[in-house]
Amino acid sequence: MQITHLKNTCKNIRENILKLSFKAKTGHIASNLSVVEIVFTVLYQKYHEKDKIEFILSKGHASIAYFSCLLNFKKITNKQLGTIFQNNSKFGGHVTSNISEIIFSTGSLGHGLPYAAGLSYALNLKKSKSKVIVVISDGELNEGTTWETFLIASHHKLKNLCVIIDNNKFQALGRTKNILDMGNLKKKILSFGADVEETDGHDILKIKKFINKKTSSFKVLIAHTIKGAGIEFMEDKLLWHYKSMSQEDLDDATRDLRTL
Amino acid sequence: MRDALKSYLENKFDSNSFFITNDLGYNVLDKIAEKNKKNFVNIGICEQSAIGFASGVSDYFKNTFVYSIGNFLTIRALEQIRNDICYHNKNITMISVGAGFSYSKYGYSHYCIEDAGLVGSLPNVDVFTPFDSYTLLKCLEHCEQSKKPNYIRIGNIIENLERKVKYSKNIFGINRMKKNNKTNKCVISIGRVSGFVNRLIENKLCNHYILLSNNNTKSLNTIIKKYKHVCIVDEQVERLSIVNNFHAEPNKITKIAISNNNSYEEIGSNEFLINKYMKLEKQINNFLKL
Repeated sequence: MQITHLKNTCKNIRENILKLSFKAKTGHIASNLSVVEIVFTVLYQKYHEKDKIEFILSKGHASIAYFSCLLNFKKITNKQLGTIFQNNSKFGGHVTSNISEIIFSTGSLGHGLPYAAGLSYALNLKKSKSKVIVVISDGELNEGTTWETFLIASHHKLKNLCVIIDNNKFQALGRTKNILDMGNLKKKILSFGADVEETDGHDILKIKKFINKKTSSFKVLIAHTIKGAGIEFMEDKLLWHYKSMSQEDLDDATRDLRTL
Repeated sequence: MRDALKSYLENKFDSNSFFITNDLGYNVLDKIAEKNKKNFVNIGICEQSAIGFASGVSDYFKNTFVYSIGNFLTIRALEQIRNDICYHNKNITMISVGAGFSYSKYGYSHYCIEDAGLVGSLPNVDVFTPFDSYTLLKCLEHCEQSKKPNYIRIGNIIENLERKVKYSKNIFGINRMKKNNKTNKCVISIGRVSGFVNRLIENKLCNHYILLSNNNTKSLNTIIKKYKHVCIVDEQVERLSIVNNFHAEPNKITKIAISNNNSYEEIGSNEFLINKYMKLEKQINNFLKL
């Protein structure tokens, strides 16, 4: 499939994120926008390329990006997603596993990776060819379970485990480097025995290449992304972690929407 | 009870089972670790990650176990137990050692006096405190079949009641000591503290019932209806204890649990701590005078 088409699909997914976020009157918009190409590429491999993939979105607050990607692959319907944030809906501000295709609920940071490691271990024992792909936020690097699980993944040689860090450089109250500086992140994770690469987290082909890369240990992609990516006035702004959109904001954002 | 656990695992553990220990179980888990190199993992001292890992593994194994000392396993990893096991309704049996004041001389870092209440407050999970090897086996067999989250708390046996107790057939049922039809009083105790209770009331005109499950109010209510005076004993802090479920009839029910207003700085024998922090002997004696 043409890369231009894939990029346009991601633009459409962003547009849907804006519409749904506006409808839900919710924040976390910028966190949803930063992870679009990552989630899209993983699900493209799973549903279009028919790769055997177990996917966990550990940064559960990007649920709207995940839902929008599932909608794109026709795994959920517009009607279902139309209930977002309404009473009795299954579609909320974090990922819940009672929705088709979602295997694990997340929202509390630091939960997705240990689960993914257990799944990887079990699939290895069962001689499965499935990959386990977990997307974590750079804020989740603050959590002890992330580093504990890097140790576990390394010790047990979980080479079917692929971790993608949505490295948008922000966490709840500011820039990650000002709150808990990770220093040389690649060097740190390399020291845990992982196969580590850094890439542009909005580059679908590079993400795809990394997912398909065969490694002798677990692998980690530090995907450099832009918080609020695709809408200039939201990009790299902490405000859009919290703020919900007015009608004017939505109109401006839709007009400004660009292909990455 | 550790021998019973060891024997159960050595006989029943197979390729459908998976065991995760947080670097504990010396002389208990050695043989199954040796025999099952792939589906036995000493994951290290990382209880939160261990619970998440167990949740992942359990998608592909019939019986998944996680093992540690009670407070490390539950209090440290409570959110993981809630989200990754209970809300997902995973088929996982958490097994802890050190129930109540079992690690009596090792200080409050090792006391498991809140765990049953905290875990028992979560959805889908049943909490069991067996009081001897037989009841531990019953709990393990129940968990093997239950296909849901369970939490078994193992503690030191205070007094072996095996020859004195009439066991219930059902894990949620009522185990009882020798019954006297002439009394209008009974003590209901939960789990291992029952050994102490028995010492205090064995030859007194008072019946004694023992429950295994810390969230078994149905059986408790069945017994309570039959007596004029009832005493409930639970080795958990009062605010989290099953005794808190009974607010009606305050003159009928005497509640004995661990006092909340302590920092448990003093150590001592099991009996010393139970009397210091639960006033067990004093309160039982007062109850018998009613």
